[in-house]
Amino acid sequence: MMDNDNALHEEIATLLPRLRRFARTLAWHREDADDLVQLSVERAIVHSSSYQAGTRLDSWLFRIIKNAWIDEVRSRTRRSELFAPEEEGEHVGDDFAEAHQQRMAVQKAVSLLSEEHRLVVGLVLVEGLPYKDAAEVLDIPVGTLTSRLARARTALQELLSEQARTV
Amino acid sequence: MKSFSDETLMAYADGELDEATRRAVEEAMHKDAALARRVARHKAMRNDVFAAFAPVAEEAVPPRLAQPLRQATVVSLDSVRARREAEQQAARKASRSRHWSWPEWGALAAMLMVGVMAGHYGLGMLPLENGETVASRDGTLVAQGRLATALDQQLGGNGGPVRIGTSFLAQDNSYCRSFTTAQDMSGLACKQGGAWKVQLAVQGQGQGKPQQGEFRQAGSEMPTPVLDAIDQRIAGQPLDAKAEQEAVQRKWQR
Repeated sequence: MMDNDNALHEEIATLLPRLRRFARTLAWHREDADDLVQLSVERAIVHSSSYQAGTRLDSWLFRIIKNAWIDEVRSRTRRSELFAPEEEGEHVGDDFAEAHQQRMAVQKAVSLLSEEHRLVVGLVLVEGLPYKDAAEVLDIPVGTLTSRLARARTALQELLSEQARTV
Repeated sequence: MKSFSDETLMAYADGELDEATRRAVEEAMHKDAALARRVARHKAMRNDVFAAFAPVAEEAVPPRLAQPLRQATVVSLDSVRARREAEQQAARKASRSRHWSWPEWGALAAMLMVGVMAGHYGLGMLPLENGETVASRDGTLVAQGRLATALDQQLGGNGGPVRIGTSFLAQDNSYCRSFTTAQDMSGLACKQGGAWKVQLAVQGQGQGKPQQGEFRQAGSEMPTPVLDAIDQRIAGQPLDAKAEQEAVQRKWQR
């Protein structure tokens, strides 16, 4: 039993980069996202018996992150600093700077989506979950997920067009 | 021409359509450039969003996130081979490659180091802390001083500089007891050939103060490697209070 726990902890450790990435789609700020991951990992350890071997571990963890976000972290994020200063990179080269700016623009647009939309975008577009698995994480039917994802993309497209106009 | 909903085109871009619908969309795309552009936009959106967050997964993970998943640091072990073999066996059982995390490699390295030191210096003493020492005899670590006294005389769950956790009869018919010292050093010792041979000692889980009496058997504060070592050796159930007392009186001889 202990061996299983150890193996599970190891597998969770290898997923940490992806957990951070998913958390960043929910919480704009790096520290908030990492707080979210830390809390979720601690919860995962405590509730490791509720993980069913053979099922997707990443899905299980994404669900924990989602719940931790909704229960606790969301309300305590650094809203006043929602738009962090544009960071590093401009001096490295034009191509790099352009790609960097493009990434920042998309991140910013995602941060302006509704929470429901951020969740589907994070699970499907960022983490690459199949619709069926993403729907399970969110406890919604696949049809609902599909239409939500389509609306999220439309909203995202509008935000990006707006940004393009204002720049 | 058949028309497709935006959701269907999106699902096509995401690779979510069944074979028949996928073919139908592809055929339509050949004939309808506008439809092909809509699909391309969905694909581009997916790529852009993925690319926007991809660098996050390349960042170094802050240590505080991995910390709760980290194994205890094993600082001494009389038999490195036993654990390594157990690991290898488990890996074979799982019949898939097992990736060791850095903390585990670190633990193994620390374990090897102490093993090598003990072996190299032959009769060196390894002070655990004041009055609790482990000496090396023929490459085996043996409890001495306060630790040996506690292992001989103390009953499980009782306080003191050394706390005794679980006592049990091992598969090789020797008695073994888990212990935790005042400075959070935990381990397992077995009575073999008249001495308490320390099977392993683990430093610092940082799991707080002893819980008096509450976790008399295999307390939850015991580090995982120690619990693993117990699991590997135990024959049947841990000793209850009465059996423990009798064993003390028999000086832990079978």
